[in-house]
Amino acid sequence: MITFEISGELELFQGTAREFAQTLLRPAGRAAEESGALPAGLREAYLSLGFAGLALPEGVGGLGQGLGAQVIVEEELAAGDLPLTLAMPGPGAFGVLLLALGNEAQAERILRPMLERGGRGAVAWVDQKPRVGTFAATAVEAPDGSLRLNGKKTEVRLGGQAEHLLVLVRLESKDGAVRPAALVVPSAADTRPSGLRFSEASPGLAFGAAKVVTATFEDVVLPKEAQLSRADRSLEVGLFDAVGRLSVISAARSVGLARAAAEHARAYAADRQAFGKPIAHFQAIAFLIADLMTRVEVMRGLVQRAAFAFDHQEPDAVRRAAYAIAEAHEGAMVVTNQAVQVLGGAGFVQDYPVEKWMREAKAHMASVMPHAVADLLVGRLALEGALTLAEDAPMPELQSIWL
Amino acid sequence: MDFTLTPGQENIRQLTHWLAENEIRPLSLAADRQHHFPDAFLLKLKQMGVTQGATEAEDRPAEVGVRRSKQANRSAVIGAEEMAWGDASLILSLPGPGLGGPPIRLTGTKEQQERFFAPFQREEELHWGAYGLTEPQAGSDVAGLQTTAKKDGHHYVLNGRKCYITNGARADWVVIFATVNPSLGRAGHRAFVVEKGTPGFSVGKLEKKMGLRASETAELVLEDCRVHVDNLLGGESIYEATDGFKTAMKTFDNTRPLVAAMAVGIGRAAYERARDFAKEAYCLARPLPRHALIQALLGKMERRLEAARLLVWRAAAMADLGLPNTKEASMSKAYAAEVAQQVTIDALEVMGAAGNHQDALVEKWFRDVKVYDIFEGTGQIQRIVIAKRLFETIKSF
Ligand SMILES: Cc1cc2nc3c(=O)[nH]c(=O)nc-3n(C[C@H](O)[C@H](O)[C@H](O)COP(=O)(O)OP(=O)(O)OC[C@H]3O[C@@H](n4cnc5c(N)ncnc54)[C@H](O)[C@@H]3O)c2cc1C
Repeated sequence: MITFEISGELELFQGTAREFAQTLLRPAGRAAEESGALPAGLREAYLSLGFAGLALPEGVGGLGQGLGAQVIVEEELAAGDLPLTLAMPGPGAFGVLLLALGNEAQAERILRPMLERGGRGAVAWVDQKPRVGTFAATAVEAPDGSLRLNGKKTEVRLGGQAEHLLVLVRLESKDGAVRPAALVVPSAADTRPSGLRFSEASPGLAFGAAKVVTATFEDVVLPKEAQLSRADRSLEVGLFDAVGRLSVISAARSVGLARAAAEHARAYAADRQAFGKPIAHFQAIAFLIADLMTRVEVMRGLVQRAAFAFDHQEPDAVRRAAYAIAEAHEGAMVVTNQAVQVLGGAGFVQDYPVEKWMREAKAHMASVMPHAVADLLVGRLALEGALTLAEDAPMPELQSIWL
Repeated sequence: MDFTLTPGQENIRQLTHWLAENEIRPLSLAADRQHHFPDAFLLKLKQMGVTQGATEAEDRPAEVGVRRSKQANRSAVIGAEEMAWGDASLILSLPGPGLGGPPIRLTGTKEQQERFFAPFQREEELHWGAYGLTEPQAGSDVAGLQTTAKKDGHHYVLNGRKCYITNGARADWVVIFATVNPSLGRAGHRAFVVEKGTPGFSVGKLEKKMGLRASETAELVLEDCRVHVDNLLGGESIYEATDGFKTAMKTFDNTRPLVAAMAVGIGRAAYERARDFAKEAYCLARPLPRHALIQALLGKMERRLEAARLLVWRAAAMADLGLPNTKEASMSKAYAAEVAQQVTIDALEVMGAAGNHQDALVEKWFRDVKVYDIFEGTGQIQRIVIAKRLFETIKSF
């Protein structure tokens, strides 16, 4: 039955997330952007809510709530502060990829302790010099099955703080075949292999509170268990699934960002006077805000629809993820930009949060699947009925994984 | 949260689609040229039980007082999208009370509902109702309507002109909005059911239009037209409590999502046509320079149609739950109209010259869909409705 109502349990999660986001994340956002550090106690407060394992299966110690619950919580968190949302501990994108690419034993072995300790995982996806359709970072398989890894990965969000890194590589196997593979590398300060180094990238447009680093691998030797594998599907199929899920999560955050901006603009327009009346009383402003509010609804609709598709194993889930991310990223840019416009000069200065949100919307657009790529993917599905593993598999050309 | 159609809705969707594809589409171009669908075809559809939407399933006298199905609005928008995918003019041409149904259902007395809905029960005959609000000097600004109604004994004497009235010429009756005292503003508005053949009630010109050509659009003239008080909708007493303007506006909370669903249906038709054209006409094996552009354009069309559909479903689901949905209904209408227009424009872009031929249907859909941003409240009026819900201090613009 078509319904947009959410369950009582989900309303509780939503309310908890909103309260946490508005009282703890929002006020801390500005300072954290400058300092790059989390305020004391924030990490613990977040872990106590259980959101780190919200959508992870109960088998690995998660709450098993599915993507439908996660998008609601992520929207709330990002409506508080997006970079701090990205900086919260937990397996994050690492967990999603591990579940999609690894087998149950691997997932359980790595994720359960990570959840118990409140640790974080990171993803090393983007090559410094991406090659079309493959990864430049290379692992060579030795006769005993061990792996020797060399290469450089950029855009690794909070890589230095992770206990494990998931690295996508080009694998030269001992039988001579070359194919993509995913490896898990321990990266905590005390377990890190000596050939792994992190270096800080220069500050970008936004996300000072959730910095990206570059990871360099020099003759890092890993046991054969480091390679993720599943008997039931290939790496490419797993990547489609994971990138679809990550896109939906990322899109939910864009909804939160846009919602914050639209609501801020609305409140400002009701208050700010010009020509003797509130600026909301001018059609040019009122219609604009009506459109921004509509756009947020549009974005949310596609995100929740896509999450439902994953939770119910619908065959077009990846296609719906592409709708969601294209709309959410494009929409967040439009909405935050126009929110700055509604505030005028005040929008441009740092006394108000909207300029920060506008920068974050742009930076966030590069995450997971750029919206133009998402539209192309849908178009390809529309014209050819299916994606081609070799041509469409999400390879390093996809800008970055920032979760 | 759930997006699965009930088995009943899945049935409606499939049956309506079958009908749209196999019965309606084949007649669509001819109807556009001849400016009407053949009566025999309309009668056949009536006998098959095809109605303008679930809003009317409840307009039958037998069902007066019966609770509406809990899914009625959702089912209606699902059906409307498929019908409009077939031909949008056809939905507006289907026999039935049309837009005149909701005001009678919402404010008519039991006696009025029985009397005015009775003709639609006759299996072998075609009957229409219509909704007469718009005037040459009062379109968006409905509150400024100028048609007057003067009480004279047991009658009201109506004088004025109505324009752009769908099915206005062939309707058995038209719900006519008039004012008993222009200086009272909205409080002076009354809704009358004016029956065909009433002396002083005549049809002016029939409009020639850009699109929706197979749907009749008429001008109506009221010259000292005497309407019995029994035809004052709801009787005298309800106007002491509420005003006629509210009657006029209430209609829209239910019909806007329906109209938005039709826009989605037209847009989807154009999208599918463009997609199929691209499949055949572009060499996909080779990286044609335009190929990625077309591919991404199609992707965007598909995405935005789905987004519009979800807004429509949401507004309809709220109506079914009895939640206030004025804002959401307007959002769905404004957004769906905009998306559907852009999709028909893009579909013509994808097809190039091939889309412009008179037999291509896409050019017809492009002509048809424009009015979805005009009738039932223009895009601007929808934004006023939304803004009023966002800002309590805004009374009007
Ligand atoms: C095919 C067709 C069928 C129709 N069927 C019916 C029917 O069955 N019954 C019926 O009663 N009517 C019907 N209409 C009339 C329709 O509802 C009106 O055309 C519509 O409401 C717009 O009114 P208008 O044409 O007078 O435009 P106007 O009100 O003159 O508007 C002109 C422009 O000004 C804008 N505008 C107006 N006021 C404002 C404002 N305050 N702020 C900003 N912009 C504003 C409008 O958005 C529009 O862009 C039909 C129209 C068509 C074309």
